[in-house]
Amino acid sequence: MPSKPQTLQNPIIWFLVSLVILWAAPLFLPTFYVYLITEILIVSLFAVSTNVLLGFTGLLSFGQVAFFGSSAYAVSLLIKGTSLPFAASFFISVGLSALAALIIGLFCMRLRAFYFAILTLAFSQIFFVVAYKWTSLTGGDDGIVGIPKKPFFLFDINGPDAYYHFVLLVVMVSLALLYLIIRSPLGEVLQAIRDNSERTEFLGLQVRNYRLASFVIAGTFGGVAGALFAPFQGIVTPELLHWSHSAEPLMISLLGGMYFFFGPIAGAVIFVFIKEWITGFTEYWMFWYGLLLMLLIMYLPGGIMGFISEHIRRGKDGPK
Amino acid sequence: MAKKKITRRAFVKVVGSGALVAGAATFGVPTLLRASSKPIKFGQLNTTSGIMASQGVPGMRGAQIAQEIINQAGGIMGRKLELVQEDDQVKPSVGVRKFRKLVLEDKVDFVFGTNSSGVGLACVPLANEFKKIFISTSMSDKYTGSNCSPYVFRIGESTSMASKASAYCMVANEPGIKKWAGINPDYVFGHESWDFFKKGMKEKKHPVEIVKESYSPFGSQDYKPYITALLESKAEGVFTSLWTGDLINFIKQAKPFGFFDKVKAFVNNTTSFATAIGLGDQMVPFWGEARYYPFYRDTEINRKYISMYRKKFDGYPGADVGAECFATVMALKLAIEKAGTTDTPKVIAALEGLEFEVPEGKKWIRPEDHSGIDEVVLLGKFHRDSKYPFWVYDPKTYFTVPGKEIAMPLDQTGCKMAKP
Repeated sequence: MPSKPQTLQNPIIWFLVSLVILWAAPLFLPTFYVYLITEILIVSLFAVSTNVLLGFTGLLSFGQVAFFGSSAYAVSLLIKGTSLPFAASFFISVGLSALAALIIGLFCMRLRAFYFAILTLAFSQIFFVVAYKWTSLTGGDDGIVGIPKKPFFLFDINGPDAYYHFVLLVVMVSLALLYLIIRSPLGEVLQAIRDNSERTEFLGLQVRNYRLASFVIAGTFGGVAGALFAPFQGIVTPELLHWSHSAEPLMISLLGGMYFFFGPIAGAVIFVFIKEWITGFTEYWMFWYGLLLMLLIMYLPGGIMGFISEHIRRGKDGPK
Repeated sequence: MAKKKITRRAFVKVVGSGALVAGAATFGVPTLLRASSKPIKFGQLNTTSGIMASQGVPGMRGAQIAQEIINQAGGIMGRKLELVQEDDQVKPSVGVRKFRKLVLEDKVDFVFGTNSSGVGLACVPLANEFKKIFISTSMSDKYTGSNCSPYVFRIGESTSMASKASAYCMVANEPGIKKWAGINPDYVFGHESWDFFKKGMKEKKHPVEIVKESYSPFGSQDYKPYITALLESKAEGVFTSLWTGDLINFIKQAKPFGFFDKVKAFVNNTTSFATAIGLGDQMVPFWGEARYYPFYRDTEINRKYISMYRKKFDGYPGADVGAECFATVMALKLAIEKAGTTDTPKVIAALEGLEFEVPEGKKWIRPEDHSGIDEVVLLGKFHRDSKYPFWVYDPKTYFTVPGKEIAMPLDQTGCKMAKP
């Protein structure tokens, strides 16, 4: 049931309030949770970018790790192998993901639905194999270890709190940009394509080009998330690029509600906490997560945000 | 550690703790006493899931036995020893997360463990960042070489020691074999092992022709392509650093090809005895190396370790990492007592040069590079022995190299140790 995302009264106020609260979080949270929220922010951005394709364009891609992972690798190699400032490494890596998304997108856009999903998967596996096999460059299975957090322009981002603030700013700005894109005429067209691509085509719009734009946007912001992730984790390994990792943002979007802009963020919060919490006492956390996902899809098909917005609407329109 | 500067935080800490002590004194609360009776926490990372669990689970057990012995004897300086054990899933990314959790959430005083050097080396930057001692129970030479740091130790035998000893053993026992091939796991340990095996051959001036070098992905399911390629290469001797689950899979798949009849010598540089236990009756007579082999020494501590292990858990303490984790816990205990504190720089100083006896024999921690050095590196050829439900080394084939002799010379380690 595709429905238009709920219009918030004033998104700018929401944006600023959450930014201020999150900015202050390290003051009253132990360092361990600062790490956890940093991870949630990065995973959120990756999931929201993937959801531009999934929830707002109606394209199922199994290849989003290609952009996340290649950007993480690129930024690590540039940080460790060159004397470039971090900001330059960061933007180069994001630029490379955008370029990769454009090139791969040109190939994949010829195909529809199932074939599209499989081709994206195949492309991402190429990235995986390169990372795994090109040992002299990528460290092979051991990956790249000990990626330092170099200053971003003049800002020292070394240390958990400082890096958290850096991630927070980048993620908030990226989310704001993505939000504006989804709300723009371009975003409207993408949603029209999702709802009925034939009819959109009849309107004289080049569906393929719009889809490509969506693919590049998703890849670029996936790249931003990857470039943030590498220094955060301090290590990149080929498993980051494995296609199974692509399922993560998809599951998060489903969990949170893929027809809502903020759905994947809600999903990411729950995903990261469940992972951290359940892995504490069992290594079979995927089992419990899978179970939860099954229940959600059966009983809350709109995800968490779908459930919440349903209740708000019922509350408003209910009998007086 | 770098020179001490008085930072704002340190200043606040000093003033704050001064205020605390003063407060405690005024109110007559025995704060200090209570603080010192808090348990000492060791955080442990080993692999307890997947096919490598047969090395990781014993690692956890070895540490638990040491913990039991220590706590029964009154703990460490009167404080109880607590273990916080985490599964690293043999994934560097998981290891890093768990390391962070141990330090930040569980607030452990020391961290040790890892089965795979891939995981352990990924943890080194974190040990440096958090200024926590990390003692590795995996084997890479890099812990005490290019990655060496005041906070990082390796408790026992390194990859170079095990691989070179394997080469020496082959030169001594199979001098006729010239055509060698290697099948190794495709990560840091596999590459290091094969390189050091060849180096060991060179050191003995043994003329070697390398006919095949192959690397298989860690945790492979299908070894048949590698097996056929090795057979086609007409290798007379095959060296492998596949370990536990991987080696068991390899041997099971190679047997139907008649691999162990066609190849004259097959030598493995790690965890061989655990492989023998894992294979049971399907074992083949190959040359093996294990950091811990329970039947080599008849010492009191070894008897105690074996009997406690057998009583507490089912089976024999066959896995190297079990004994290495036991040794690590014991070494930390001794160092803390020697230092009289759990304060990191003082425990580092106490660990440096520490000599102690564990089930594996006597160990010494070389102060310059923090490399654990065993009394001897031991190899042997497996044969069937009706006394046991698994194959054991034929005692006639024991081959030993003194640890100090085979340890990498200090000028070759590549370690530039920062001053703590």
